Amino acid sequence: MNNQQVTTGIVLARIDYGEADRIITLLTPGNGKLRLMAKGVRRVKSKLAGGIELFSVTSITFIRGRGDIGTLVSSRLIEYYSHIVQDIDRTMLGYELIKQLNKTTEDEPEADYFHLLKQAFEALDDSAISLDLVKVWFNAQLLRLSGHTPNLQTEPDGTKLAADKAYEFSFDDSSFIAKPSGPYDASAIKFLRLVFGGNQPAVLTKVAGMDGLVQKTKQLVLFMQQQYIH
Amino acid sequence: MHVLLIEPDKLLAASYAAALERSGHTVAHAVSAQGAVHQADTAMPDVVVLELQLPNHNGVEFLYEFRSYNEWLDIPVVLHTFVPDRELTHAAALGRELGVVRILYKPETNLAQLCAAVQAAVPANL
Amino acid sequence: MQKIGDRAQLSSQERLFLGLAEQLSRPFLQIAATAELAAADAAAATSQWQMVRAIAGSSLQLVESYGLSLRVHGKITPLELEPVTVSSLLYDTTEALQPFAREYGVELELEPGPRLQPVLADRAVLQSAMTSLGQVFVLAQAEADEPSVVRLAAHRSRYGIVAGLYGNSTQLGADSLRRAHALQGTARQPLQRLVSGPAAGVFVADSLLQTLAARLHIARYRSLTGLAATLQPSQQLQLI
Repeated sequence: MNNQQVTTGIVLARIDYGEADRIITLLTPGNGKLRLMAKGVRRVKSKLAGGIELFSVTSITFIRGRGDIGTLVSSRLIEYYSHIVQDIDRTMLGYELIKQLNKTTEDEPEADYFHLLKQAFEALDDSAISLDLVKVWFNAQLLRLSGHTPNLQTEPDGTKLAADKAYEFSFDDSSFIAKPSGPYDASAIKFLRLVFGGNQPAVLTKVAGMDGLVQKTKQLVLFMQQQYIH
Repeated sequence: MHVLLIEPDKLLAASYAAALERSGHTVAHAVSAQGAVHQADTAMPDVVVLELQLPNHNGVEFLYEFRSYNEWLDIPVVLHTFVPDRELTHAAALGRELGVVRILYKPETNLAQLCAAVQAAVPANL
Repeated sequence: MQKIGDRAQLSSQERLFLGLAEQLSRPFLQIAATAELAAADAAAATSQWQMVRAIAGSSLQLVESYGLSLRVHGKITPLELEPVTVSSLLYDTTEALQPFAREYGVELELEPGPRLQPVLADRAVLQSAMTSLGQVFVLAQAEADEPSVVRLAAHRSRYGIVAGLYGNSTQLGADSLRRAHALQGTARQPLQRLVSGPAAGVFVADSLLQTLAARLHIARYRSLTGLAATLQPSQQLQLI
């Protein structure tokens, strides 16, 4: 059929529609957010999600509609991150990240967001990677992709950050400012450089003292996300 | 009231169902998330009693799926689970976003307490 | 109060114990709930007390099996190796599991296989392992929506004598078994494709089999998937 297209996608949301159908919102690398009608899949016995598993990457065949919503023709599972649902907290964080990404992106997000979510699933799927690390890393990538990487090299006046000083973070300047009783030291700032530098969680998890560094920087990164993106 | 009991352990389910029936409710039992969706579709429940540890799709997944159907948005859910609530780091989100009205830790909840929680879950019954 | 992240700091023995403790809350809860019902209903009491006995018996068996594995690993109890006929051992296992399986409505099928050479093993250790494993399979089958059968079977492979348990609802793969070993005691559902709970019985069985230089592995038998141990035939009888 000429008007059928194929793409990979990750499910962001599913809602019911009418008696028998569901609307599925997918994040794709080349088509941004796709909204597709899956006809007749409500209450189908075979699969919980009406044909597409959550926490998965799927290949979907669809037909573009005249309006906002296309029609799902068929789907095939490419990758299912089955270990996420083995742990309740991993499952909940997975949903939280999906929701967060859905909320912070417009209808035409770049391919980077698709890859970010896929990498997040890979990290959640790996029981060796702590949930707090995934959370910090994910939020940092959202900041980076939206152009809000903080200044991790110098103070607002251009003075290079020193290894032997303590710092506090200024949200107005999006920079660290030296302060004797400041909560952030060189190790925390170095860790942030690694996180904002696009390193994968599987790499970050090997950093010495990672657990402590994550705890030190978690609140800061989450606050940054709230301040700069919302 | 009609109670949907989602409990993978058939022996425990038998005890819970018997106790709920003695309290005057009708009970539909499902051992899995998919089975529960099917049961809810067959007979709309007034309240759901849910174990989080389920085979194949866990209780959180069930809740997200359940709440994606308009007609099931307002049905209260009582968690009755082996997961200790102090280890449920997202307990607040479960309440706020997924309509969980009560979290019961199974090892510390007897049958009478379960029945009381189910009764209290639906406001008209208070 | 331990945070979830702290579980990963536990040693593998501590994690096995944690998984075991979590698994045991289920039967104790069953006993308490059944007793609560029985107290209110004298007419139903007999069958409920039978249930209580079956559940209590299986829980005690699990605790005893774990204790045995600790004692053997710790060299407190020596291994008593002798030629063991696997089919007769599986027969005894079926008998031991019967009350528990009956309560859950699960059928046990025994396929002793053709005349197989005896294996060299400690009978009590091997029996404990198979019974612990059997409990997990009964629970897994009981959780399935379809009719429930657990098959106990022995057959020969090129690696030795394979003694295993199989079910029509199990969806285990070698990868999930490996990950489950790593997750035991740290995630709430390490063997989700087999059973919804901690499945400590699998790890207790594996711990016991280690003392016999055997490990649990995924096995397929007549279109069923399950877990089995491969044991070496005893050379002793060949000298007679």
